[in-house]
Amino acid sequence: MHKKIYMIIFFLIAGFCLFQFVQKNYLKQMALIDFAEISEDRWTEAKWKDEVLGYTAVEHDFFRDPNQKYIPVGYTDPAAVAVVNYSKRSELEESEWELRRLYGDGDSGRIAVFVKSDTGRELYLYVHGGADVKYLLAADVKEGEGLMYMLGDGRYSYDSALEWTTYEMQSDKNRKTMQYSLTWSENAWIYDTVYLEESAYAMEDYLNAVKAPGGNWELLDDDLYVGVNGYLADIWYTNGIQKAHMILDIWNKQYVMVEVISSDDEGK
Amino acid sequence: MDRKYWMKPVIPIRICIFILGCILVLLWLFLNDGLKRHIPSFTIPEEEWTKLDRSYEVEGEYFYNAGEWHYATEYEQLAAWAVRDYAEKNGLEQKKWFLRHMYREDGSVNAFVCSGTGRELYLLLDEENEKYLVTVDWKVDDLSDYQYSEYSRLVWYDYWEWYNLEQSGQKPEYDFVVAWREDYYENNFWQWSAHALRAYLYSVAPNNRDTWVCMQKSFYMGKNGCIGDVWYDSGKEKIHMLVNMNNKEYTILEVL
Repeated sequence: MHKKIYMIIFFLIAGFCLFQFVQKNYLKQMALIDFAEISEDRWTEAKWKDEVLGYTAVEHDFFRDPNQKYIPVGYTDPAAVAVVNYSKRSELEESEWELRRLYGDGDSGRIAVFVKSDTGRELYLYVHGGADVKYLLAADVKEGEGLMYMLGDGRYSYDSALEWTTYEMQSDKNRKTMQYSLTWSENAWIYDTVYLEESAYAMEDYLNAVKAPGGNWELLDDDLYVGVNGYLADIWYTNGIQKAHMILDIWNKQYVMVEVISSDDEGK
Repeated sequence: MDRKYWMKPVIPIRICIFILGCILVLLWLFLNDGLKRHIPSFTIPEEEWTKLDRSYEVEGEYFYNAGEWHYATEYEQLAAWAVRDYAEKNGLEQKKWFLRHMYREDGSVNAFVCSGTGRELYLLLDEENEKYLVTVDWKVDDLSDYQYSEYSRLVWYDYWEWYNLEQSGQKPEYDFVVAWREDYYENNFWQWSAHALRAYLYSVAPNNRDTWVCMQKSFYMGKNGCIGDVWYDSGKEKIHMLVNMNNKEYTILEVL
């Protein structure tokens, strides 16, 4: 009799352990989004000094912002190189840039930098630091028409090295009919709700496109950035397992998924 | 026979009293230790806040850079309302104010503004009760461009002792578990804010053994480069504090 009880307890414990193992190592893997990286040819290489483009090593205080000394030069320097390199390549008149937002990850060398000039020009750049800097032009926004994409009926326009995807079909839907649960905390209400709503439509479109498994995705409100233009936003969502990073154009209702990384990666 | 019956219950009663005594001692020790571990919740007293009256309307574009950060209109309006009220009461109405940052954390709404002439205000806002509190009013001192003075009605405590211990390489008698990512901003700030946190924990809960993680994404450093607004989270409680790097002082704004 006792033997039977011991056997039952043993099998129950073994079954529980097996379930835990499968859930951790298999089910979670199943739930991962297989993200297609942005192709290398969209990235631009930038040398630390480039005589052809006509710039020497950037100064540590390159950005016009008194707070930059609270950001390590390991972040600001590659970001400055990317900004200078892009400005020179595109023959921009602007030479002084205010650092509006910068975040990065020391381990992988990923940096996101958002700058603005006195003339109202704004750059959204994703940078990989290291021995060789490379960057992805998410958006170069200027006041008025003239660049590839219009914003606000010609109030602004922007160029981008990214391939944008429309989410217009999603935004016609009612939020209640959406397939995925996309939420945000009360802290996110500090921002205009248009960014929260529109980002949810774009996420819904992306998750549908990659046939992601169900589950709740929550907006990371601390990481939300909206440029002065008010149309382009840098946004992160997480489902606890992965974090999805996108840039959103709420005027043209289009987005680009920039990266999907593991949530364990405190890269953001 | 009588003696036997009389003896029987005495021993268990004595044992019971002894066990009860032990339990009470252990309970006292446990509660005492629990009290020394527990962080009491804290909010700034009502009398420190200024109630906003609706005697005037604040125009939609009060800030020089109104709408630039795309905060929800009601929050930006609330900040504008508070800044204007404070400016009028303190002879600062001529200044142009720039909204530098706003955030919300667990119902606590925070705004940071600066004027073109180096004046900076840190504000706590209460949207529900329409009241505000200026936690820091920073101005450039007349004596020199590099000497600053801050005006604040809050009580500031120093963390020199913890700072000096670190500088001298000595191990403190008490220590707390404080964690932060070192690649965020200047390392000194995190170290010093951790000293401020230790000083606070030592004063209210010396036996606290929670792991306090710095919420570095909620961090704000003013243009002054001296007073940082920082949050620490233990998973059970959150501590919101201001840390002055120059004077090695801190003040607690909230324990939630």
